[in-house]
Amino acid sequence: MRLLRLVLRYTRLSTEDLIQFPFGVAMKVVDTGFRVLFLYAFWYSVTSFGIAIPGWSQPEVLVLGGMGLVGGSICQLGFGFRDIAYAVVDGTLDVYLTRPVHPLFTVLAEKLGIFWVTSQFVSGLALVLIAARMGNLQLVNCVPSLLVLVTGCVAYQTMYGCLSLTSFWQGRVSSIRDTFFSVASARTYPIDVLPKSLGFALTWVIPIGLVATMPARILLGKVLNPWPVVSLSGLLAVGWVAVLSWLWEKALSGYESTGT
Amino acid sequence: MDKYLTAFRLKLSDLRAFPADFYSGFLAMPLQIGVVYFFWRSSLGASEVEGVTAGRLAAYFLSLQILRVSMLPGLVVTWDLWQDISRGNVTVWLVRPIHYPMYVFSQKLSEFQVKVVASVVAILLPALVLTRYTSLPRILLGYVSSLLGFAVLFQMHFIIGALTVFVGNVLPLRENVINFTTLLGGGLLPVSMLPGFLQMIAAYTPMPSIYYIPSYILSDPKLDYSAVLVLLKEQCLWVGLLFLGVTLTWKIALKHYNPQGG
Repeated sequence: MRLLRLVLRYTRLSTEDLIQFPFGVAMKVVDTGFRVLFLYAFWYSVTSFGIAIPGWSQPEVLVLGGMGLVGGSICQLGFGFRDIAYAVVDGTLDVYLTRPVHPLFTVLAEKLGIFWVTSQFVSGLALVLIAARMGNLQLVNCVPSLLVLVTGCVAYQTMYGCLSLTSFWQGRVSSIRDTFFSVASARTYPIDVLPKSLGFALTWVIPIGLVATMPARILLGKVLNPWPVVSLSGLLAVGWVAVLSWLWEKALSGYESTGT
Repeated sequence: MDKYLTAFRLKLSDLRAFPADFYSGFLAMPLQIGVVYFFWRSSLGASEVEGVTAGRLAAYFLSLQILRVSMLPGLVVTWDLWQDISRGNVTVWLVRPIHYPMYVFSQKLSEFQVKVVASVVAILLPALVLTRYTSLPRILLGYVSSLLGFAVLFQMHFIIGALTVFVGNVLPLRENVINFTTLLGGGLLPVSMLPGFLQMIAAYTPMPSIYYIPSYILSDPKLDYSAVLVLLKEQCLWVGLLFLGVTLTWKIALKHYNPQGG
């Protein structure tokens, strides 16, 4: 109950912070438009060149793009993982450690960008619904698709968080982390057209496939029995949360405050 | 000039303080390029569509990815300037006998140089020569082009950072300029593959000078040297125009800047 109250309070703070900068809001709206435009420009250019994507029709690619945006919206909830590494290096972590709330929760809540969460969710959902009007979706698969999307995002973001936590030992890790996770741009592509081993790695090792391609395939009825995928994705999420928790304990046990 | 060279050297020392982070930043590239290559190979097969092959696109995106990683310091300048102006730290630099834009440029150029040289030697040179997508003279021309591209990127983002004096929070504006750069500068697809109206808009902006032209020079084996020279001239034009832009914006911004004490 207390956590829920805190989440609501941070959401309100994020909204109020947003309202203070009308110019910033306008720019963010334009930014959201760009994300949709990127999808359009990419797939329009590819198809107008006469290039076909094996196993994916145009409306299906639209679903993939929509799921990618909805996945991005959920991943945005863990955006604060990015700043943990900076807080460790510049010593501001000490501020979080003195508060009577779990520091990881505080960092995530403080960095909650309510605009990005909402705008990506709305634009992604709109794309999926447009594709639904073309009759390509299997609505019965909504639940497993959503479950894979959520658990995939949890696995992906906690993995990102784990790499951020290595800053306790390595110091600055932003470059390796950001470059490593820039493979997330693979989200644009349907992972299942890649060679099997690479597709497997991008689904179950770095779970990019779970935050766009796999939920889209389930929603489109391309996966005959989605429940094993749901279970595996859930296990992966639980596993990465456990690793994050273990790393956090380990890091704190050897952490020496800078007195910031 | 000595003080700018010192700033250049100091930044190199700073990079050496975290060597694991610096060098490991390049490790993800083979995976990223692998994804792009296999996607296009599965779509195009061994065929060629309007001069586009999977191999050529992979070479293009490899060059692009190296430039993106190397030019990152040029993107950070907006954030740095926003912080320095908002917190008043810029005052400390204004009272010193240095030209602030030049000082920041020296620092960022240092980081760019190390990254681009390291990645060209370690990744691009072997990859492109082995696949016969380029040659040593072309790599040298590509290097010159990437230097010019970095100068364009830096100046664009310095101007945005200087706008902090007028706008306050310039970061959302920066994001959209980055979006424009991605769309019109070949970040999404090579500009020549974009719809006609986008190609037309791109021709009147500095965006293709940043990533597209250097990547194109590095990865297109059919490009002749006269065409390369035309592209380099186009980049020089944008460097010159943006230099005027930086000088003017910085001059006006300083007139409106209210020092906070630093």
